Parts: sequence; C-alpha cells; structure tokens
Amino acid sequence: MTESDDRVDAVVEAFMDHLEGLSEAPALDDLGADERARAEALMSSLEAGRGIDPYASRPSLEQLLAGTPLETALDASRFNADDTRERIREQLTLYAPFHVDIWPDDAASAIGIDSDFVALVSAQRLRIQVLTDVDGPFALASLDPAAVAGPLFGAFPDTAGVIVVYPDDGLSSVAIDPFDTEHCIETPAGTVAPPATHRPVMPLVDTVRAYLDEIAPALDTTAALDALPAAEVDTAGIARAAATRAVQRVILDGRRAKIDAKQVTWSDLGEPEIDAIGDLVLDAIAGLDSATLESRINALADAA
Amino acid sequence: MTASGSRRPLPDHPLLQDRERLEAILDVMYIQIQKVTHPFRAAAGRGDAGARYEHALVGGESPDDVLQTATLALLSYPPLHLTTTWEALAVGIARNKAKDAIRRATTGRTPSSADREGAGDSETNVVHLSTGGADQNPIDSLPADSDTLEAEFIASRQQQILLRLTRELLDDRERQIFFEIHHLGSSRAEVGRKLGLTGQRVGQIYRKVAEQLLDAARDDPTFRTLSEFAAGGWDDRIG
Repeated sequence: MTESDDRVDAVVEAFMDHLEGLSEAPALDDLGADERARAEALMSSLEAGRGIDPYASRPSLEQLLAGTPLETALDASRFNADDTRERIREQLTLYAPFHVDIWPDDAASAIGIDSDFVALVSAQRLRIQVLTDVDGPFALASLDPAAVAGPLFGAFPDTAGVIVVYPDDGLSSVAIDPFDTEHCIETPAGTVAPPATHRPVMPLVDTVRAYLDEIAPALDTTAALDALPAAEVDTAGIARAAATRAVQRVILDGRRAKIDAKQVTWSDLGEPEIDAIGDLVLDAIAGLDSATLESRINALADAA
Repeated sequence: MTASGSRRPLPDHPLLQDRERLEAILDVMYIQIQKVTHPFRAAAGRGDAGARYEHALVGGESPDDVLQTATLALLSYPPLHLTTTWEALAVGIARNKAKDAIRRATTGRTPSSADREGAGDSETNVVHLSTGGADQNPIDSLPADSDTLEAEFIASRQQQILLRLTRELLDDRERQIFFEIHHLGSSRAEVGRKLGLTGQRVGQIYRKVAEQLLDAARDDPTFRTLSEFAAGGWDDRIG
C-alpha cells in the first residue's frame, strides 16, 4: 500500500461516510491529478450504482412486446435469412418432439458476451454459441467451460444450458451446464478439479436430446407403438405370447372349476388353441375384416 | 421529451431493425427505472435504513411494467421528430415513465413526517424524487438536457459492465459486499454485522474490489467513457 493509495482510500472512505450521512463530502484538493482521477472514478461509480437491483433480470424484448401491435413486427424482423440459424432450427424442429423457437441472442451481444442464439426447447432456455475459431469439432471437448459459458450463466441465470456448436455438416456440438463452469471437489481423493466439459461431442440434435433427457427427463418410459418402425416389431412373437397367456389363464380356471364339464374341457386346451389364436391375432393386425374375424372366432369356439 | 401516450407503436421503427442497439437501450432504461423507483436516495438521506429495501411502487406496478410502458413509448416516437440520440431519448422516457408510476402508486397515501418536510402542497408523494432542496419540485429537478441524459446512458452502461464483471471476477463474500454497498446502499457497519467483520474491514474490501472491477471494465471492449462517446457517439440527430 503506497502513500498515494492511502490518500485515495481516505478520500473514498470519507465519501462513503458522506453517503451514509456521517460527514460532509470530502475535498479533493490535497490529491494529485492521477489520485484525483482515481478517486473521482470510484466515487462517481459508487453514486451511479446506487439504486440498481443487482439481482433483477430485465424482461426480454419478446416479453415486453407480447400482446402489443409490435409483436408481429418483431417476429418479422428477427427471422432474417441466416444459414446457420436456419440449419440449427431445422435440426431441432425436425427431430425434437416439442415446440422449438430460436432467435438471435442480442441481449448477450449488447453486453459483450459471446452467444449467437437463444433456443426455447421443451420449455428450457438454451443459449447457443457457434464457434468457428477452433481446430475442428473435437476441439469442443477440450474447451474451458468457465471461459465459454461462465459469463452467460452469470448474466442470464435463466439459462438452462449452453450449447457450443461447430458449424460442420452435422453441427457438432457439446452441452455445458452451470456446474461445469465451477471448480468441484472430486471423490474419493477430495482434490479440487478445475472446470471441465463432461459430455461427448455429438451432432446438435443428439446433444440437445441427451441434455434435455438429463435435465428434464420424460418420466414415461414406454415407447408409443406408432413411434416404432414396423420392421422392428416381432408381431408374431407378441401375438403368440399374448395367446399363450390367455389360454394358460383359461386352463388354470378350468382346473379350479367345480363343474366337471368345464374342468375337463378348459383344462384340455393347449398348443393347437394357442397357435390358432395367435394366427387369428396376426391376421387381425394384417387387416382381416370383422365378419371373417367373427366367423373364425366362432369356429375356434366350436372346435374347442 | 417524453413520447405521447396517444401515439401508436411503429412496426417499422428503426430501433426494431437494430436489435443489438435496442437491447442495449432497454438495459439502460431498466436501470434508470430501478434508480428512480428505488427509494434509496431518500432513505439514505434520512438515515432510514429500513426503507432502503422497500420499493417505491407499493402495491402496484413493477419496474417490469414500467419498462414495458416506456418501451412502447420509445417505439412510438417518430424518427423525424428526434432531435437528440435514441439513447438520450430513452433515458428521458424511462425516467418520466418511472416518475408517472410513482405518482400513480403514491398519490393519496399519507406521508411520513420525514416525507412531509419536503413534499409539495399539491400532491402527496411518499418518495422524494429530488436530492435538491425542500422548495424544489422533485419532478422538475431531474436533468433533462440531452448531454446529461447521454452521460446517464454511458454511466448506466458502465454499471451494467461492472455488474457482469462482479459475477465473473468476485468470490461470494466480495460479491455480497459489493452488491450491498455499491447497489443497495447498506452501510459498512450493517454489512460487517452480517458477515462478522468490522465496518472498517468491509470498507477496505469494498474499495479493493471496486478498483479491481473498474480496472477490468476499462479493458472490456464494450466499456466506453463519456469522452469516447463525445468523440464518436451515435449520430441520430435529424432536426
């Protein structure tokens, strides 16, 4: 601490006393030109900062103009043809089973933070950086996430993730979450590890899908039948398994039956009935008309 | 200077074609609205620490609502009527809309004795808008000339950069001290009590980080000083 530092500190201290109502504003007469400039910069900054809520987050322009006559004007102006953005939008829209919106990240640009687009995917706000100054897509795996994404998470706390994209054919990309940008304590050694990316570099659509599965998993684990290609479904196996279960249930009921006729006939069912019912289900899946289906069911019942 | 409320927004407004500039202007308008609607100055002047955390827009609009009104007013302003920069105009509109909101929120409320000393006869405002004398009409005392408004714009942009650097460069304790003193106006003693430090030590930490942030801000490519602005500022003056 130099004597000059001491003098500036004393003036700033007195200025803070003044702001707290404890004393008069300090005189700067005893300071040299450089000292005076430093003190004035600190004092004016302190005055200019007062009243600003450091935890507030400004509503986006889209939110401000929602429901106003300018809403559509904004839509028209923000979607100028841009090759990369359109490719990103196309990938996300084609493969993502949810609403996707994407627009230029002017809010970040305005405060000097690198971010090209904001994508609203499945109610998650992702920020997308397109990096062209790296040595190929695999360099994305060794980026420093704190430098790349730290300022974005700091300035825009509503960001669910930062996707860094290399503009090659597949839009290679890697996802960074807020915790990737922090130092962490590794177990079991207990050593402090620097920020690092933990996810693989993949095409954009896979990166976004995997990341969304991670941060907002869909809890329905069953795949819808219409989402499965027909060639991948073993309909014969499924039909025979269903027929087997149904016939075995009848056989068990027959063994417990009190009526002799039922006990004999139901317990006597077996492979021929299973095959016949399986074939019937397969034919029904293939498009058998209802009249034929009904007559075959009746024939099966008579034979049994 | 303020835009008329009867004007309709202009879909082809030049600021809508320059999204980056409009975003920067909105950031500054939001800061200006917070500063006008935050009763810090009046509270600090009265030594009323409790009032520091109250918002002037009691039970009504939020700064977000005021920003929406101000944004529409800005985007309704005909470019041909512009005699200053959009930035200066935006600061003026934001302040006036914030003052209007305070009027609506506080008219009819009973002022405290401290408020009553400086309040005019015609209107009851719980929150003082002026830092001037008791005879001064607070509504008229805010700077209105474009140079002052442009200086406010630059100062707000600088504060925005400092806010970003605060999140990037400071640890949790330094950040809390900086936010409490620099933005929220807490006294060093108050902050010291929260953190288990002396007020003097809090002051030392604040001064250290404030200088560190200012140095870092000067290296930031988006940081502009008033003199840089004057040398090559936005040239929107038409009339």
